Amino acid sequence: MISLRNVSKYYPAGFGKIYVLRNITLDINEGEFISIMGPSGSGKSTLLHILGLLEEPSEGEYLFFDQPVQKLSEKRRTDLHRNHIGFVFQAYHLIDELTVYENIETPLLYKGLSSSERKSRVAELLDRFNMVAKKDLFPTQLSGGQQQLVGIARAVAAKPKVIFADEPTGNLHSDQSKEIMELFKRLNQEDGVTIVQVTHSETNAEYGNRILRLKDGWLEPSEVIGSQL
Amino acid sequence: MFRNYFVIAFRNLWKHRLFSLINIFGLASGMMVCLLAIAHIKGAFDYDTFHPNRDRIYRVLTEVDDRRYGRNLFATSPMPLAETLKRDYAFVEETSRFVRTYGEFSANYKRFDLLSFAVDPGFFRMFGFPMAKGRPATEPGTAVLTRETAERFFGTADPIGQVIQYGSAGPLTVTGVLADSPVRSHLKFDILLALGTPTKAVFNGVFFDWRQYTNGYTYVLLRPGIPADALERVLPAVAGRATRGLKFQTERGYSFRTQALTDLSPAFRELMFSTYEPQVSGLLAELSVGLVTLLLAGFNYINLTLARSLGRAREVGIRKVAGALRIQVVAQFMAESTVLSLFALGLAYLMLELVKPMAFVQRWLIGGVEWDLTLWGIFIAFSILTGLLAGAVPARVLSGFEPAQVLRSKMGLKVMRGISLRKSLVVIQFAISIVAMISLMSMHQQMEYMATADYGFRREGILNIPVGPAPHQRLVDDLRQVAGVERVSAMSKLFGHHGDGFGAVRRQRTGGDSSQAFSFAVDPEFVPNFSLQLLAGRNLPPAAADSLRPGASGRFVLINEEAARAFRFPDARAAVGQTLWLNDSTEVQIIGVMKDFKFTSFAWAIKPLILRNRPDEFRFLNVRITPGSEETALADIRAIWKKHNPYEAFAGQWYDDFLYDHHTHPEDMNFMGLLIGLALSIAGLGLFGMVTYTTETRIREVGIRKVMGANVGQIVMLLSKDFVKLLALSGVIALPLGYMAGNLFLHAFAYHISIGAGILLSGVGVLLTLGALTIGIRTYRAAQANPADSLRAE
Ligand SMILES: Nc1ncnc2c1ncn2[C@@H]1O[C@H](COP(=O)(O)OP(=O)(O)O)[C@@H](O)[C@H]1O
Ligand SMILES: [Mg+2]
Repeated sequence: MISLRNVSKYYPAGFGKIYVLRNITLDINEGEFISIMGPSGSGKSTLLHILGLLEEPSEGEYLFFDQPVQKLSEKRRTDLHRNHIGFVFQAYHLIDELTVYENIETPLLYKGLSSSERKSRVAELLDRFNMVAKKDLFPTQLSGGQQQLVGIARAVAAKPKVIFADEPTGNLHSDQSKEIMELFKRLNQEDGVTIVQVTHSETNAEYGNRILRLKDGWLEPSEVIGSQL
Repeated sequence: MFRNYFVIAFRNLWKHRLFSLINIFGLASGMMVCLLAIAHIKGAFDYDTFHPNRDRIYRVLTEVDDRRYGRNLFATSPMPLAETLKRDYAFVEETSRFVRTYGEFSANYKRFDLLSFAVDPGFFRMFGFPMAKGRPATEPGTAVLTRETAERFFGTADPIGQVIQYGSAGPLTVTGVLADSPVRSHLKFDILLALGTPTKAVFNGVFFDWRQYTNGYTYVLLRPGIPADALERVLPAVAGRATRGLKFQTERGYSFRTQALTDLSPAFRELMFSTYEPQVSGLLAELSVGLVTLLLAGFNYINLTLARSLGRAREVGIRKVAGALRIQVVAQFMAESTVLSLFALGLAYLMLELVKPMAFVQRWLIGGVEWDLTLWGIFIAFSILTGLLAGAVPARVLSGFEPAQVLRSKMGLKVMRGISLRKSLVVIQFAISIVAMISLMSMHQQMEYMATADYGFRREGILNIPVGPAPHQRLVDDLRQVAGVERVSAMSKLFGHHGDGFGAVRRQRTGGDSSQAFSFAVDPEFVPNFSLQLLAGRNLPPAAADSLRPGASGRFVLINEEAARAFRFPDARAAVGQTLWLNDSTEVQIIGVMKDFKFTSFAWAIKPLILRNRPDEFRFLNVRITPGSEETALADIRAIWKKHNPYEAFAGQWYDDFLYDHHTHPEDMNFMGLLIGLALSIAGLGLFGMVTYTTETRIREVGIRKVMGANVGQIVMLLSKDFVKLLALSGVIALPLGYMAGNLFLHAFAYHISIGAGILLSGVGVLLTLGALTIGIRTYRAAQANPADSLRAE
């Protein structure tokens, strides 16, 4: 479903340019759960942003559901964001002025669902994530783990095909991390959502079926997690 | 979707209360001024809506082609026109002429200068001015009063049947009183006379003379169902017949135009001798003052929204990732500014209620304007438009944030946008405020100057007492007996006013050097009383010796140096004994020449002046009182006044006070001061907000520097340096502009102050002080903060 061919990313610096990603070729199939690892500054976030259509590659070709998407109009790209792609961030990035309920509802508004459809979908998610009691609270009234749950609920609200998560547990302690990882796993296995996460933790990486390692912008040969082979 | 926009808009405004308050106050101030202008404009369109036949009423204009002045459109027309139109054209139902005069009316022991219209009987059938009681003034020698005039003359007594005297027009019987008009009219008057009444003798020929087109107005009422252009179509033929064989002095000829009553106000074209319809140019000028104020507030909104962009950037990123198109993000920001703007409208309305009672506002702006739904609709539409426009710039900037940049967990990247835009807006804001302030201070100083300047005649210690046309000799004799009274003189009109009796004066009866000159009537005591200096010749002789023929007082005149120059006398001495022709008919002899002094408004350079001894024109007695005995003398004078005029209140006023009151306009200054105050508060608050938000983003840096040993002074310096630079820059820009703006105003005066360092520096000084205080307080607070607090937070 995702396929990168010789993708590179560089930024202009002085007279030359700095390569952040070099010549990356990568395929991700529907239903996979992928973990991206690598040292700080190795280009993980950049890769995730390119996969999530937030940044454009400088070179190479990107096929999303067999469609080339390097150069898309804002409308087409937004369409993919509305219907196929969800994001989860390390800093949660909830909108502080909106309640839990409204934060989860936001992507549904942009997707253009009717009020009753939105209501039932948000209710379903609140129920599933055990947040019904907190639906009228504002993000600042929640703990980090709870905020990230809202972040994930928001990411899956519009029923995306794939979720990109950039260090989703980077700010959480280990039991909270475990809860989030279990949630991803269920989403992946029960709902068939493809998941691509960046993580620094080997333990978290183990939840996935495949680990991609980045170093200085180069992608090292991917390793497949044990039992599935 | 919209609900979501508005919910977040409200929450944002509530959460950032400082931001909201600054902007609501600023926008409300600007809007208040705009609302005044809009109400005035709306009022201008509502003029004369109360006449039942207004769709059928037309005024005939005269387009004159003149060899000297070119083509000009006059609101007036020749007086015989009305009769011709009514007689020859069946589609004309009614015509009415009116002649406007300004003069002194007296009744019930009272005297007032009134604005009068002498009108044909048709006036009352054509126009819908409501009568409160009585009947219209249709027969010669009758008059109708406005409610206000009736009250001035007769108080609560019934004015019907009372008699009013008007100059040579003789007695006028009051037949009716008008009710107050529901809305304003382009026709403003205090009294209506029947036109058949012989007014001034000069008018008599006018009613049959096609050559004279400036004496009165012609209005035509068409029959129902007649197309609007029927009249316009016949006018060329009428003008052709009228002007055939006419001999004009300088005109090549004229033609007629029609102007529908419904198109009369506001006036898009300036007419000569126009009536009282508001001019579009004036309305636009008012609106632009409002818009500039609003612009200053709009700058604040843009500035402060951008200053908060750090916080908003993240939200933009999230929304885009959640599937928002850029346009939807823009809509969100616009919704916010619109909500803010509607709040501002609410506050603007409250402010409007506060300034409504101000005399300036009532008189010039919104007196008589109907506050109906249309006006409210316009207000709301205007404030929504304001919100959309104010929101557009920050919406454009903020909606441009790319999620990939703003959502990286480390926010190291620069997300502040529009910094140079913000700096320029601050500079423009302060520059405009400084320019406005310098201009206002220049005006104020000019008024003070005119109020207190040396006019060249003695103004101290003189008490002016307004008197009627009756002989005053006995009153004068009694006044001279009062202890402390040094001298009593008489004059027709006070100096320092606009002049009076401006007319052509010639050296010979026909032709010769001629000039326009002001003439005043004074008695022989006048010259010494006001310490006027004679350069040549003698003072005017007393009235008795002057009367060579009965009624021919004023055979001799005094002129000023300027008049001697204008009539091309080689010098003052040469002028003495020469004769002049006044109005082509009266021959007078120059008896003396006075040193020039200022006797009109300072707007004009000294003009030729003629003083004659004409006791029937005296309207003021000037009583000079010895310094120190003002109190006792005034009490005695009051008593004498009471004895001579038991029914009339004493209206004496010190000349000093008259000149002061006449030239300072505290109401107008108050209103303009209010405008400047608003502009200053807007700029000051904007700066306050700017400093606050910018300092907030540097709070970590401040913490680190303090830990490393920076003291409070150094931190304040660090934080305020950039802002102080901006203020200094706006001062540098505003100084020359303010100097120019002030001079533009002063240019209108022949005698004026010069804008000195005092005005310029105090203008800039006020702004800089205000700015420095704002910056100082804000940055000092930030510098005082405990670094532990700012550094602990991640
Ligand atoms: N807009 C940009 N301009 C220049 N350099 C950038 C930009 N964005 C990211 N980088 C650089 O790209 C490199 C990779 O960044 P990133 O993908 O965030 O790494 P990681 O997520 O693996 O820590 C870093 O060195 C970063 O400084
Ligand atoms: Mg990263």
